[in-house]
Amino acid sequence: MTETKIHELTEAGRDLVKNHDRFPDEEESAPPKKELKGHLRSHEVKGVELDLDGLRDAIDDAKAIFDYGRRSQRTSMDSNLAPIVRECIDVPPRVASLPGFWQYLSLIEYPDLVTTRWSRDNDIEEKFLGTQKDLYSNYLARLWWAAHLTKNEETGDYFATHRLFTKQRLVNYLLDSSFRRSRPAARAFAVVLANESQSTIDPVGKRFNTSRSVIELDSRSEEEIIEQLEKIKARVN
Amino acid sequence: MPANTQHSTARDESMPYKYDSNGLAFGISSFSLDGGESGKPNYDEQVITPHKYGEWEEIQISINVTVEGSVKSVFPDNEGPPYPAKLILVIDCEQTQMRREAVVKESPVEEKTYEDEIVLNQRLLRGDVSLTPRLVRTEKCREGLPFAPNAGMRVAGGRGWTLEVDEPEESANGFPFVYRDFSQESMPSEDLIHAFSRNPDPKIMINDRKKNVVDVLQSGLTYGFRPNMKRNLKARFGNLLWIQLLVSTAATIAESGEPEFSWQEGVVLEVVEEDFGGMIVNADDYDSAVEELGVRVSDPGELREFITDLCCAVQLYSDAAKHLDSFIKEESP
Repeated sequence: MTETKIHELTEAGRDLVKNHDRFPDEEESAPPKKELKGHLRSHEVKGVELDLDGLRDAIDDAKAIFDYGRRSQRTSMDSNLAPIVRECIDVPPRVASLPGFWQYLSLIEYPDLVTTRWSRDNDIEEKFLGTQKDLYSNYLARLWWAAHLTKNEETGDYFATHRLFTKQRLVNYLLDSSFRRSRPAARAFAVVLANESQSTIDPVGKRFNTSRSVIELDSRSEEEIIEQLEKIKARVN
Repeated sequence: MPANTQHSTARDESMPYKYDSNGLAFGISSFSLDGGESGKPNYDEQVITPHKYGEWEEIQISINVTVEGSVKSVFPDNEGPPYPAKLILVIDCEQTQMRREAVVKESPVEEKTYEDEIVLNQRLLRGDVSLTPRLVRTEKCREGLPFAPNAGMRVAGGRGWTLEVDEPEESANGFPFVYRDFSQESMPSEDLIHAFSRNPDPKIMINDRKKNVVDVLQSGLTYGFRPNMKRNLKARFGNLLWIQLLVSTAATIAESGEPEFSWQEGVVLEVVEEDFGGMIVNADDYDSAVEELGVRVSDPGELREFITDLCCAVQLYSDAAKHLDSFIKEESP
């Protein structure tokens, strides 16, 4: 197995961004790439396939196709990009669990994507600097983990990923839940609650989570979990 | 408490049906890395630490799970043994978002010891991995409550082991900090900010659901509100940690005449070598410090004074006054 070099932004690099006068709050500002490159830690890792150019092309296409001035289009852009990010950044979970890896990609490789997608929101800094504690914060990590946790491991398809990205509330709920780590549960949650409103997503998620105190989630198939979630949804509605 | 409810010691295992929280005795007999020599499990703390053995890619863990006779109580008389349940190990790695089961024995399950081997690839892991045994019903229970009525319900558990893939992160003050999701099973109350853990070595577990606290603790800045707050939080956590380390060490000495673990020996040495130790014991060497620490928790009157002295000593040790003073000076409006 060949080794590939990956980069991580260090803590000092993160501080540099946090203390920056203009970036990322001022419009049209760009990350101080030259300085940030002095705050990288590099590792040689086996089993990593990075197609940074392929992802660059996909991002440019997405920026041209989607009207990111509209909220619904921004969500569609996420749905389009999440599987591509997962495939182009083909790293094992051990690497994906490094916040500095995602911070490097967000600030050095694809800052335009983050700015384009999140400049209308107040929390753009966390979309660059978010940590592993909140999977939904760093934008690229959010796309990668959402796709990774909902990808069908047997068929390789991303059907559940696209269902997940029908609503930002659904993405945030799943990525903030503790049952996200059970991949059949993550897929089932996305499929059953796609297109539902917050008034359904929240109580269904809460009841489902409560049920885990007696039901051994890890012993259940995706179909069994879907059946359980459908029952809860029927009761909530 | 309803008659059909059995409480275990774990907060999250208060079940609405008969549940045997100590019905499974889970052991790790050995582990090896990449098929090489065997590593030594820490049986006291139930932890294995492959990071102490150099580079590795794959770990093979030889496990055994004993289904105790006590699990009889969670099944109706006509259901066995053997019981309509499967025996599993839940493998959970929070940092890499991996949680899955390994089936040790499919249904039915006898009251006996089952052996198995678990193989895990490091590419899927980071930090700590918890390994927890469970007995899960595989059929509906015709009798219903007070027995677990449905397939898929867990009916027995046992104490888990920790696989420490990477060395725990150490804070600048020398206290190991680990971040854990307190809403998870077997964790302390999720309303807590932090808790003391002795497994495998003493450390502070920070509840990573408390996002503002985590954000402050992970700040790498030198000046400003966050780093000042971080120093204060660390002093506060450090005080509580030291009180627990010292009381735990002294209690062990009172029970068995000497420290039991290497970290307890380290605590005694710190007491002898650091100025603050003079407020707790009047001893110049290790042996007399051991003796005095044991005496100081030997009866309620001594213990009362010991705690008072301890609270003063740890404040001095952590420089709490200086940190709080500079925080107030710099952050006052």
